[in-house]
Amino acid sequence: MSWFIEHIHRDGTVLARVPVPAAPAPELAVVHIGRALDNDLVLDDPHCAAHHAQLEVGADGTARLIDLGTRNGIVAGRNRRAAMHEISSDEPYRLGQTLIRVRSSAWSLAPERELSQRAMWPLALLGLVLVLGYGAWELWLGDVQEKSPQYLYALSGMAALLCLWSTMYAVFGRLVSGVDRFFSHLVIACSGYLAATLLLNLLDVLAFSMSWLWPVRITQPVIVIVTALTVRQHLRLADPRHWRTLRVGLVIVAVFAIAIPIAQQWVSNKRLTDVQTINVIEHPALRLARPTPMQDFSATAAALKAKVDKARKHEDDDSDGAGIDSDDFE
Amino acid sequence: MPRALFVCLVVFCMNFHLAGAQQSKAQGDVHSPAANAAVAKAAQVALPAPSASARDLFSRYKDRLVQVRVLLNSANEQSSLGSGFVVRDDGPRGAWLLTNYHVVSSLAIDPEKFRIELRPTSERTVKANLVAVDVIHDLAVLHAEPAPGSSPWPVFALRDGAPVQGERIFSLGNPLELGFLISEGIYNGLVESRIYEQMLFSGALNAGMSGGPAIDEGGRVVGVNVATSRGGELLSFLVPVRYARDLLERSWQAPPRKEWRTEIGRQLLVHQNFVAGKLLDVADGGTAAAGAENAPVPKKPGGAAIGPASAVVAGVKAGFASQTLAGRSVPTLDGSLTKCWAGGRDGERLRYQRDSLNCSLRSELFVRGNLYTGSLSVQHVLLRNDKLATPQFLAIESFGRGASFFLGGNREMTPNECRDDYVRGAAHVYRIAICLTAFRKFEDIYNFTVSATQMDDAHERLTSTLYLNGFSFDNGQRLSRMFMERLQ
Repeated sequence: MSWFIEHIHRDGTVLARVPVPAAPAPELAVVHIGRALDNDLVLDDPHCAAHHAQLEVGADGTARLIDLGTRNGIVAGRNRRAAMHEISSDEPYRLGQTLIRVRSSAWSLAPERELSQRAMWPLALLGLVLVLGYGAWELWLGDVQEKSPQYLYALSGMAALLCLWSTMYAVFGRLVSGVDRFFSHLVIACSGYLAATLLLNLLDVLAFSMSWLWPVRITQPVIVIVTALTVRQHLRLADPRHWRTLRVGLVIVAVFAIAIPIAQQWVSNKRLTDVQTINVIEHPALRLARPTPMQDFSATAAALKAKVDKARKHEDDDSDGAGIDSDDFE
Repeated sequence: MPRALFVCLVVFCMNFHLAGAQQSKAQGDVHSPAANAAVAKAAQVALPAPSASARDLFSRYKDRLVQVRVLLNSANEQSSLGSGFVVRDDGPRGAWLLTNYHVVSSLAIDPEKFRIELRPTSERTVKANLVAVDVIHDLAVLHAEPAPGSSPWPVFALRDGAPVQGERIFSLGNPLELGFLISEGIYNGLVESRIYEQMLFSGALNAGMSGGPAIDEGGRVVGVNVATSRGGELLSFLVPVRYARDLLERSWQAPPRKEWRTEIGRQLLVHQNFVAGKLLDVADGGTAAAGAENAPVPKKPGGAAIGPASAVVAGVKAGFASQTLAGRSVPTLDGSLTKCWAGGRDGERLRYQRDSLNCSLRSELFVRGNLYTGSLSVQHVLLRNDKLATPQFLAIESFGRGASFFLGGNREMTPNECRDDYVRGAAHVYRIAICLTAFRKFEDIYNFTVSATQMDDAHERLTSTLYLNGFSFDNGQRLSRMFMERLQ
C-alpha cells in the first residue's frame, strides 16, 4: 500500500503528485508541505506558510494532515478548519488558496467508464434542418404579396445565428473544460428554439380555441423559461464544474427577466399585464368556445367603465404635480 | 377624390391648433405662399394697393385690436398666441374682449400655470382674465383690468343682421407675430356639412389671427376668425357674431372664476349628446334621441346652458346606415355630416383581395393640444382569399386589431381597458374587442373602440371597427351597441 499527495487545480486537474516515502515499521512516514524550498511538496502560494503542514502516514495504514501553526490553516470541505485532519477519503483540503488531495493505492477506484463518444453531428444536422424548415414555413406564411421575401438570406441568416450562438458556448467550453462539443451545443440550441416555437403555437391555439386569455398572457414568461432551460443545458455541458454557482446566477437572471416587465407594467399602468385581448387568428375549425349572444356581450362595457373610472380617480388623488405637458409648446 | 377630402379635413384639424400656436412653429411656416402674402401685407408693400375702404378701416379700427398672449407662469414666456378685439369698455370696471377658446384653451384647463397678457397696437401691455368660454363655437370672453390713467378703449360694434353672400368683409389680426394687418375677402355664406354654423370667408387667415374680428365695410363685426383650410386657397372660417353676442350677454355679470374644467366638461357633454342624438335619432326614429337628452348633464347653477340646438346648420344629418362592401352588407354612417371613402387593392401588390371602407363624422370639438372630442368613425376591412393557401390567408394580420389599441395612459387619457370574446352576429361569428378609456380632466367623457373580426370563415375575413371619441358612457354604450347589432 502506498500513499500519494496531489496538488490539484480547482477544476480537478492534478498539478503535482508526490509519493509518500516508505518508512521502517514503527516510524511515521512524513511529507512536508509549504512555500519553502526545503519542503517535499512546494506550493507557490503567498497565502501558505513557509512550512504549512505535514502529512504523517502510520504503519497501521492511517494518515493525518497536521497544521504547523499557520494563519490560514487547513480547511476541509467548505469551512471545516482543524489543526489535524484524519484522512479517510480523497476529499481535497485547502491550504491558503491551494488545494491538495491525499490518496492511498488501497482505496477502490470508480469503475472504468465506457466511451460515450456518440457522434452528435447527425442529430445537430437534423435539429438545424427542423429549425430551418420551421423558419421557411413562417416565411412562406408571410409570402402574400407579389414580391416574395428573401428566403435564402433569411434562412442562412438564421442558421448563421444558431451556429454563432453554439460557437459561443463551444469556445467557452474549450476555455474552461478543454472540449468544445460544438455539435452538442447546436443540438441544444435547435431543441430550445423548436421547443419555444412549439409552446408558443400551442398557447396561441389554446387561446383561440377556448377563448382563454391566460395562454397569451404567459407567453413572455414562457419564452424566458425556455431560454433559461436552454442556457442551463449549454452551461452544464460547457462548464460542468461551475454549474453549482452558475445555476444560481441563471435563476436570478430568469426571475428578473420575468419580474421586471411585470413590475414596470404595474408602475406605469397599475396592472400586471397589458395583454387584454386575444389577437390570434387560427382556422375556424379549431374554435371550440361558444360565441356569446350579442346582448350579453354589450354589457361588458360596464365592467370596463368601473376599471377606467378607478384609474381616473387614482390620478385625481395623485394631483398633478408634474411639469407642463409638452403639447402646450407645439 | 374622397381621399383628397380626407386630407383636407386632417389639415384643417392641424391648422385649428396651429392657429393659436407658439411662435417658433409659426415662424417655420413663413415660407408657405399664404404666409408670404401676410408678410407682404404687414410690410405695407402689397400689390395691388389696398382699396380705400381697407385703408380707412384699418386706420380707424386698429386701436381696438389686441394680440392675446397666453404666458407660461414658470417661464414667463408665451405658449400660445392669438388675436382679440374690444367690445365694451366700462372705464373703471374694465373692458371686455372677444377671442377664440382655442387661443386660451391651455389657460382654461390649467389656470394656475398660465396667465393672459394683451398687447394692443400701442406699446403697453394689459392683464386680462377669462370670464366666459363657449367651446362649441370656439369663443372666449376676456376681461381686462382698468389701467389707471390710460384713455378708454374704443370698441367694436356687433352687427345685427347676417351679411349676404358676396359681401365684402375684412378680417383683422396679428398673424405669426408679424404685426397687425387687415385682410380683405368675400363672405361666401355658411359652410355646408359642418355640425355647427360657421361662415365661409374667401380671404386670407393665418396662424395668430385666430380670435380677431371680421368686419363689414361699416366697421361692424360680423364674425370671429377661427380657422382656415390648408387644403384650399383662401378658404377661411368665421364664427357668426350672434354666438359671440349670446356669450357676451352672459359674461357682463359673470363673477371672476379660476376653475373652468367643469364648465368645459359640461359643454363637451352637451356637444356629444347633440352628436349622439343625431345618430340615434336617425336610427331609432326619435325614441333614442329622447333618451339621450334625458342623460344626466350637469347644469351650471344659475347659468344659462349653452344649447347647440339653436346652432344647427339646417338640414345636417347623420346616422347609421348599411352599405355594401364587396358584396357584404356593413354598417356605415350616413348623412350630410359624414364622409366616407373606400380603398380598393389598387397600388397594392397583394395576392389576396383587400377592400376597405372608412366613414367618419366630422363633428370633433377642439379641447386642447391634440385633444378633440365628439367624433365618430367606422372602418371596415374585408379580406378575401384569392390565390393564397389557407394557412397563409389565416396568418395575415387583421388591420385595426392589436396595434390600434394604445394601452398605456397619458396625462389626458387613462390607460385603455379592453375585453374581448366570441360573439354571434346575425350571420357570422365575430371576435369583438371593446376598449374603453376615460378623459382624465373631464367627468364622464370616454373613448370607445369596438373592433369586430369575423372568425368563422377561412377564406373571408371582415374586420369592422368603430371609434367613438369623447362620448358619455351612456351614449357610447348605446352607439356601440347599435354598431354591433348591425354587424351581419
